Amino acid sequence: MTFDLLSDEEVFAVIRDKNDEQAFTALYRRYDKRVYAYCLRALGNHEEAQDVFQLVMMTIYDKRQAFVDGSFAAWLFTITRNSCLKAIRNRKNTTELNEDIHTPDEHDGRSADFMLKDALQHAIKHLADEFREALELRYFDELSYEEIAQTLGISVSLAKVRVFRAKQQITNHLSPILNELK
Amino acid sequence: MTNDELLSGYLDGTLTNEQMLEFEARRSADPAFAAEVDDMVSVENLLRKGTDTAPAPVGFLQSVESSMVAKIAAASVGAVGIGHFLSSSWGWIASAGVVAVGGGAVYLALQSTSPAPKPAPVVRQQPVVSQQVQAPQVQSPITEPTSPKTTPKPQPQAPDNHVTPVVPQQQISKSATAEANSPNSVLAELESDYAQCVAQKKTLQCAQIALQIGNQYRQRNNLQKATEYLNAALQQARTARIVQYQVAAHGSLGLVARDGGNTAEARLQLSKAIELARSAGLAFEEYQEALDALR
Repeated sequence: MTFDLLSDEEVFAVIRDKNDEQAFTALYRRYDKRVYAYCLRALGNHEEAQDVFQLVMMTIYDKRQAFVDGSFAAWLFTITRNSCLKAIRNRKNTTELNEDIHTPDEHDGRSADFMLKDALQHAIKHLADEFREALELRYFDELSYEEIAQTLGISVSLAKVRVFRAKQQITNHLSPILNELK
Repeated sequence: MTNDELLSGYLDGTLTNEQMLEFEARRSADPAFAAEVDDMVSVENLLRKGTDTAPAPVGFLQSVESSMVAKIAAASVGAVGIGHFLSSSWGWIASAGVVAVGGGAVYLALQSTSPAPKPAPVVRQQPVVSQQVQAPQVQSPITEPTSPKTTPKPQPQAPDNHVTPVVPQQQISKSATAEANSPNSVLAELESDYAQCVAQKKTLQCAQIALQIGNQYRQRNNLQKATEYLNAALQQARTARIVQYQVAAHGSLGLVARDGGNTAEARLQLSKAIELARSAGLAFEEYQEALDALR
């Protein structure tokens, strides 16, 4: 059976109702990198990201009966977010974010593209949590506003506002560079 | 609408025709707004391109996937109706595990008092008893992450969390008893199960059954058929991305090659088993010993 044409929710229903491992594989491969990237962004290091990623995958399977309707992506990222928050709360010592995580091509520092990307990363990192989280869900995790709202437990209009405000703050931060490049 | 509302809609591509006309009018009339739009569009494009993040460790993601698939497959077997469950060879395999856990005395009592729904249940149970008992080296990365951790370990909660895939190499010595009692019908039934699962494209089960058949043939010294099924198991395991089974298939192929006097092939297969097992954090001592003995 091919799952390519089925929605996330339809594939998950097959997993939930039939324990179909191929359905799980199909859905897992749609989200594994995105969920891992989310964990890595939230936690700042691979060790914790791997711990939480495993926990998330276990949780979505163990709690599969709890998902009946709505967006699977929103449900998945809600679980991921809550798991990351719990991991952060459980930290005995605050771990500084690993600066290397977001700068894999830092040696290519001469290009304008790098300048912008670097500035963008810097700007995102300095956003208030509520704005950064909404922005990352929108652009890195590719969620719709409805899914962002569901994930964060806010209204759709507030999700839109947070994403827009985040982009405005980033634009302000990047304006000098953008003007320089014009 | 405010400028922000128009700009937000413009960036999201949700403006109506009327709103778009309004937006363009304000953009033309207000240079400051036009500059803001230009900057916001640049940022929008930059965000849509995404930022570079450290790549996810592929091996890690695969190992989690493998473990979850094995867990689901195990749950799937457990969910089958009891009648069908007991009438299938997989039902007997799982039954054997339960019996093993229950203890030898209970096991014997069950054997003597329970009517067998199918002939020769003991034969089907015996090899897997050893498998169930000796499965600890097949560790799910879900429950036992291999890398050092900085946070408390996730505590899996489901009783079906423990995954014990087939480890054929572990069965060989103890399954000798079963072999002595095993009629050819058992092998034929396994082959029938295999054909059925191939038709259903259940790659995980196919890999399990093919490994069983391959090792059965190896015990019967039918090395050609053993190789045939073990290669099939390897292919299925690769498709299902179950590293444990790939290790087992390579290991068994190595032992078959050794039994057949093909030392070069034996070394190659055993080395592959060891390499894969090492990278996935699985046990490989048995293959290492076999490889060392070839040197």
